[in-house]
Amino acid sequence: MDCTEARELLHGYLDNELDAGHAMQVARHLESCEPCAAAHALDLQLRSVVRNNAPRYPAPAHLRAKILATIGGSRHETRRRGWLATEWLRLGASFAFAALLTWGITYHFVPSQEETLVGEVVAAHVRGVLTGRLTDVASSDRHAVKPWLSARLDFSPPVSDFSAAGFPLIGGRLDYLDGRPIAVLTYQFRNHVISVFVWPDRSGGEVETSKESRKGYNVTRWARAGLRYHVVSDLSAEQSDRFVSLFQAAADAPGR
Amino acid sequence: MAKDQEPESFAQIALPHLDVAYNLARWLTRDDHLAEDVVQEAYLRAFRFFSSFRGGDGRAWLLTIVRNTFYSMRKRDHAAQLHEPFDEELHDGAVEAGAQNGDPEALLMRSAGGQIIREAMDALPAEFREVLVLREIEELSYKDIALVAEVPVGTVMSRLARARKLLRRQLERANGGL
Repeated sequence: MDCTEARELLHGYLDNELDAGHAMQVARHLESCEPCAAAHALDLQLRSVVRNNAPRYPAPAHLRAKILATIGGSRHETRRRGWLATEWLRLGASFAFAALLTWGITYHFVPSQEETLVGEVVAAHVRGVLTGRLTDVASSDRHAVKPWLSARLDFSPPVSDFSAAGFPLIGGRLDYLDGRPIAVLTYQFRNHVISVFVWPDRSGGEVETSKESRKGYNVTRWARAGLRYHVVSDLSAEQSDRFVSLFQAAADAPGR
Repeated sequence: MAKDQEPESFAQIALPHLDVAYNLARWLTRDDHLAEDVVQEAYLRAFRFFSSFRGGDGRAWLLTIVRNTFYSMRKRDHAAQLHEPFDEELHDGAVEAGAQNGDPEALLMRSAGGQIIREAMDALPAEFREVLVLREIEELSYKDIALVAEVPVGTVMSRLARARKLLRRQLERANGGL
């Protein structure tokens, strides 16, 4: 090994980053070459001067709290919930929410509004399932659920019971998405939960039914007659389709 | 809340590295308040992009975000305090270390002392400052530095070589002025 090669590898040698073969060659070269050995000695010395003297700035004590507050406060949707008994639970839900929200944007720095919404409905669905808070009004009677929701919202979502087909209505609740209060209808299929998110469509247009999968959850969405729908569940795609067809047919029927 | 693993793991992965994250940010910004801003923003980003964390070294992952946050904030506030002074002489770098300054070892020893080291490191361009901090203070491997700085491992070695050379020259200059 000549000096040029040795000098190239000297820092790797200093940092213990060379493979054994190269390290040995550099070591041998240093034994026989005074200028290179001197350069290496200087590097060693510089290192110890830096390591002994360069300050390692510790994070100020208030920073941790500030970060927790930033993260906790970054998702207002999770804040208004009375069921999250403590700050920690609230924070936990925020974490889960954001983690869910970002599945779709791993490779896209800025998600489209639609992608964000899908993330939000999935997050809201998971929050409901995790916390067991699925309904504000628990009833399989659509004549109880529908007026309860209508009384609290500026629209009236279509509500039907599909017990006969294996999808009993469990109830409904309010949530807050897309910058407004919305209705969530909860159905059951065996031991799976199905959430149907409904709110008025600002653009008012019809949107074709589209399906996607987010981390094991099926999301089907469409807009019709001035309302947007997102159906979220962990059912198989077939069962999810079956439910959506039933729901759409009932929603389209006169009198809902 | 048995299923609540995601929040736990974000906290478990990101919060233990707060000191490391702050140290890097502080060295990059050279300012207490800016460092706090960078770290806070970086944690928010890390939190949002937690799903992009594929396991493994949480420290390298977080430091990558801290570093990127710094550069994007610096770009954004280019006219403001994050502006990096560009030292022509330092960049020029033709003079071999210590060649004209008598005994380089003695010079180096005299520079022992936190403030002189700090000032000398602060005078380096950020790309050299960051590899020095990651290597000498945080003692990261080349592999991890390569991850954080998003460069090949070979570049880490050559950048460190250059950084040390520049730092030595900076210290010699500081001591020459004493």
